[in-house]
Amino acid sequence: MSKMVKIVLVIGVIGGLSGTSLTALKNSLNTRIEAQKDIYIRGPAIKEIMKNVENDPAATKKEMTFDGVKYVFYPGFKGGKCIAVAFESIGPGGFGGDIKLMVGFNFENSTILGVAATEHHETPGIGARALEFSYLSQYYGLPYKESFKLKKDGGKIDVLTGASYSSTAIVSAVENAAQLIRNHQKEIIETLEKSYESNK
Amino acid sequence: MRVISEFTKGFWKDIPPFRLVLGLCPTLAVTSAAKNGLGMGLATAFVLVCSNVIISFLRKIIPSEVRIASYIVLIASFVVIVELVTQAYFYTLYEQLGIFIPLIVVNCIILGRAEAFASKNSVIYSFADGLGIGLGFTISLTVLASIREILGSGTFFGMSVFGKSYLPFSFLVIAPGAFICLGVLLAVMNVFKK
Amino acid sequence: MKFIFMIVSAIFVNNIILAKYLGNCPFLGVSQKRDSAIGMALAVVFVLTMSSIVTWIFQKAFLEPLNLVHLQTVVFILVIAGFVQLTEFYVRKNLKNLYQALGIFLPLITTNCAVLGVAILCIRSSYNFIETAIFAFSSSVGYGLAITLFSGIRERYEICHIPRIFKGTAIAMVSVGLMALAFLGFKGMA
Repeated sequence: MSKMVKIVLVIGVIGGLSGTSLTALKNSLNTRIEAQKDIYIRGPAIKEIMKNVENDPAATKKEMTFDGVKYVFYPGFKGGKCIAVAFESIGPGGFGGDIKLMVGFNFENSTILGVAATEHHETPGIGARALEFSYLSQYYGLPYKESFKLKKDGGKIDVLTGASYSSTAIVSAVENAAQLIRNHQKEIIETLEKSYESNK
Repeated sequence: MRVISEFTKGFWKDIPPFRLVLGLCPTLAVTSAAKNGLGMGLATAFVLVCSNVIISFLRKIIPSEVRIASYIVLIASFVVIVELVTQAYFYTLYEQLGIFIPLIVVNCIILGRAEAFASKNSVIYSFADGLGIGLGFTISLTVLASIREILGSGTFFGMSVFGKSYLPFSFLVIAPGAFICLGVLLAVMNVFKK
Repeated sequence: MKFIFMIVSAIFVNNIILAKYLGNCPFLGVSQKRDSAIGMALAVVFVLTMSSIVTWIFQKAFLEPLNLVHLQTVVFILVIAGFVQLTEFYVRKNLKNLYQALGIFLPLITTNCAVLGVAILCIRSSYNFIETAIFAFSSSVGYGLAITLFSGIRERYEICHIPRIFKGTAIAMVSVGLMALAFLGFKGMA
């Protein structure tokens, strides 16, 4: 009986100690990990999308919640006005799982500013071709007030031959992002400008 | 002077994965570039040293019925530490090693050393053993990765070696090349073995 | 259609041993005899599929809601080890014949990195429940196929003349490389 107690005690203590210490470590490193992700994954994507802005989008990022989903917005400012925003959107059902895209919106002329992949598991040379600039550039400059659809569904977007799952996932990621902007554009711009002012 | 012999055996007599044919998956998977091989080797060495020390320290406390489960939890905890630290400080390495960082936990070298050595020897010997085997593993991975990177992409730690005119032997970078390269290295090691 | 793609891709194109470098230690360790290779293959198919499903449920039911995703490695390996123990216990008690065939392979599977590897891959690729089950099953079938074919090659080596320095693991690695090269041909299909 005392043996049993010892076993339970040892396992419990080891498990508890490892769980709590790892959680503490995770909490203390969390901001650094997020910052690293901004530099290495989202950073290049944002840079590719946002040009001609006066601020560093990653440094002025702002979290907001819509319909219970958390979004992190990376705003671009010019003369104190929010002229653009980029945020990550998830496209479900790529060939290798969900695709994460950074989608940028230009508020000056209501068009898509740019689209760039941040996380995907598509097969190199096949599905991954749909995440290259040569394919994604067709979204650049399209008005986001209309909904984005593939040509076979009566829209304007081309499917990349051999990468139809990836193409479908991308179009739904962009459409989801655009929908959020269509519904909440005013609110988003106001919040971002306010927090930019107060941080100046 | 047993400490020294326990330390140095990892460099030649028991060098993994050549003499101890264990831990093959990371050996093959991450050695397409020298930097990744070195990073993986050091990460594994860290886990090996820490787990050896703590398991040896706790060897009289842990009941033998649940020793494997306890070892696994301890090893996995150190792996998570490595995972978090690389993510926070060496993000590109973390991206490149990908799934093979969590898989350090099932690297048979680590559980093998815990069971065969650390659970029977004192803390100081276990530390020497872990450090020796860990550094031996790091050397092996770096050597294999250097061969594959130099010939396969014409670079070494990202720096160009042969200049632009070199046509890379890219077969060595993909999976079949990894297997064959390791096989040939094992054969070369056998030349020196009696 | 999507699932057929997934199955073919996991078995042939992205075979977990020959293209993804997972589960190599037991692959070389138990492939000397065809019988033991087949036993190992069957044990892997069962354990890998079931434990991927169980870890997926753990991830969605506990780790994600409780915000403990960073403990994934610890929890997964414990779940897998526990699952293997339970299976061994059950098979030994109730299925005597099966135990004689598979028994000795079951404990080895805990440290087979293909099991933990596929479980983590399913989470990282954000597969849903059905995709996880199909992906895990077809990956393990790919593992079984590779190990069975390879044991056939290795049995031949016993009656061949091999240069002294290549005997043992060296020639095995080279022939896995050649097999991987053959499987690379399937890439053209996808």
